[in-house]
Amino acid sequence: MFAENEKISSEQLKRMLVLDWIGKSCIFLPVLLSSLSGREKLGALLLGGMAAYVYAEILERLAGKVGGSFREYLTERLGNIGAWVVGALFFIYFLCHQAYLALTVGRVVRQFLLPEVPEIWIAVLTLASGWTAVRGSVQRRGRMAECLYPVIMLFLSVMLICAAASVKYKNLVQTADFELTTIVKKSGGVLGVFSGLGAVLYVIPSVNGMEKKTDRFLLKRSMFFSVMFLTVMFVILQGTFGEWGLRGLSWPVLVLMSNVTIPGGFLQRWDVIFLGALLLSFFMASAAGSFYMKKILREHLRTVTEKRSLFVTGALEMLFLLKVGTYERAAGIFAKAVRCGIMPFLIGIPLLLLMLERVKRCRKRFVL
Amino acid sequence: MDIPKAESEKMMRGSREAFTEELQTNVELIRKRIPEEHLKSKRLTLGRRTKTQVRILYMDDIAYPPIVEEAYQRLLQINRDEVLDGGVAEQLTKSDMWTPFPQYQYTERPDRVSRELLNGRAAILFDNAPEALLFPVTLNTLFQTSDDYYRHFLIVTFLRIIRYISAFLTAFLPGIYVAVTGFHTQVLPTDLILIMADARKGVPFPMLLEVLLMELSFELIREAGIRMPGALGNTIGIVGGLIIGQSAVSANLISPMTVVVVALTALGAFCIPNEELSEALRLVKYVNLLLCGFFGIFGLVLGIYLLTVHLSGLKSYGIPYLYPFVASGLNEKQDIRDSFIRAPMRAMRKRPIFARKGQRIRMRSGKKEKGMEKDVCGK
Repeated sequence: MFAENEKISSEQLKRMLVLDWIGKSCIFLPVLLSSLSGREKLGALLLGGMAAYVYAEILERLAGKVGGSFREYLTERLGNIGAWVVGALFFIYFLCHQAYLALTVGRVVRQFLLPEVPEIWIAVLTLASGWTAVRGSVQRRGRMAECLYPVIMLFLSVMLICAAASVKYKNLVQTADFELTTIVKKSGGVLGVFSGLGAVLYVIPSVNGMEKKTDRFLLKRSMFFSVMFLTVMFVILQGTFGEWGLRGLSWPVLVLMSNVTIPGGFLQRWDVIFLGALLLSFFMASAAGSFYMKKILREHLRTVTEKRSLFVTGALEMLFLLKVGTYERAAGIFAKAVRCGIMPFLIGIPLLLLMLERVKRCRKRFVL
Repeated sequence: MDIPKAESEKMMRGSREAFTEELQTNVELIRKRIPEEHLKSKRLTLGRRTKTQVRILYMDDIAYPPIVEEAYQRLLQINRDEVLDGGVAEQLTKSDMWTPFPQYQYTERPDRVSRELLNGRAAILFDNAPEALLFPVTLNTLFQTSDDYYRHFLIVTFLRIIRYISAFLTAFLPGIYVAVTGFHTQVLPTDLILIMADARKGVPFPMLLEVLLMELSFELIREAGIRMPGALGNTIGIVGGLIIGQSAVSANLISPMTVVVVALTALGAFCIPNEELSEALRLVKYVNLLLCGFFGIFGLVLGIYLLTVHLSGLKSYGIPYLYPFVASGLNEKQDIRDSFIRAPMRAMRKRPIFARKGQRIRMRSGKKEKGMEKDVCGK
């Protein structure tokens, strides 16, 4: 029957991806681009977004060729060791990502909601809640994304629409000069936030119609939507706080939320509700990280059972989180891991695979 | 034999008949409504000592055969001394035994069973039990009532939205109250905060404990009301609700605002048409109350998320529990027309997802078929 076919629809995958990116990008990107001028920020975001779009295009081209299992595909193309290296890189990326995400939630919640609760508690709860969604197949996550997507996007869109009323034209126009080299440098960081997208190839075999390429633009559509949403958000932030105001804020989106007023006077402040929507997307992102970790374990270590992989994933996540301990350390580790080590591989490997596909096709033509 | 009137599923319009304690009469009550050869039943006997007669009813041209077969197989696997009621079989054949959410839909109304059979679902009837268990179940079906289809669609849509809101209130209102008043008072308008602060003056308990005590007192009153015979039950409700509530407020044990919140939550629970769903949501309420009591709005969001995680993992005979809010494309988004909203009867031409794929059209445009005209005219 429908609920037992271990398949999700392309719409569900799109919602999963958008929810995975939107929340964390709202928080991660302003931190990453905080030292830049307004025009540089927009330039870096658009350039990084375009690079991510091209990355999505590469992944989409590969998606049709993955077949029943990404690990088998990797083994076929890169050999056993190559497949293991790719799996290990993705696993390390998500391990760092999970700790950074959880401790970011901890810091945000402590700063804006619960000053009396230690942030490590919130971080542990965030990881644990993400982990609960990993039990069972990908279908559970697909259904969750389908259900929560309208709620989260409705609140975030209302927030942006209401905040747009406070945009000042002069803030948008008066920005400092920009440097192309800075834009190019920081666009790499923007791409880094999306670099985990490559892990979607582990899920592609579970998406209905992907093997027949019925929804060819799925990843690109999701990426385009997310980048556009973030661009609109950046423009509104720039217009509301201005060049220098924005530089002084660590999480401008959260400050923007507290500035929003909705006509009618039902509530004094709406930021708690908007922050709630953002927290839901953080939980979804945490679930995505745990899910990919479990999936990688199960694909690469064939003998590991569902229960064991679930336990190992949860235990490793928790241990790493407790070892890292603070938000600053987690941010440092994640940035270093993404920038120096993992990101070039995560983006380079799909590119390499695509090139191998091309070579294979050329050879076939030559033989024929 | 006398046919009793429906007691637990009272309706504004429609049949007043309810099932009896006798299996054969119950089957006849359904056959009276669907006089068709396609209405089939599978018989079996459950309970080594009780030898309870059980029937699975379904429309053989509409229902999915694997679903009926799976139910039959699950029932066959019950090897127990006694199966005196459908509730026992229900618990033993549930696919997820930990969930408090119902995976069969209990009903005492033959008209409801008949309609659902024609929608492609199946029903299990037990001897000596005045009820039927409908399956597969989705969360959405638990919010539907029989007279939803006998009344104007705008009225029904309004009532459906009220029911969904009431379910939300049942599960989350006390938690929201505790989170807002205990952690995030700045959310509320100043006048309201002042009124609430004034009402709480002198109350010795922390907010979480106050709401928890009041909720548990209400559970006591509810349980006592159910166990008391006849009119005494109503008296207990009035005495408990009014006198104890009033006395507790006068003695400064609780604030009047807490009484209002607990009363609204209780009303919300009564608005939910399915008693078992209402009970499950009451359990969710306590989990949520604790989360909100410790973590405020973060706890509330966590509670909503965990409930979504739980419900997303549930399925009933292969149908996702959250259908049609998820995967509605499987039936070309037709089933959304009978969810939060109820579309006009003319727009509901297709049967729900429960029906076999080739058998989903239930209303055709244009004239009646020739055979049908003949029957109606009696020629």
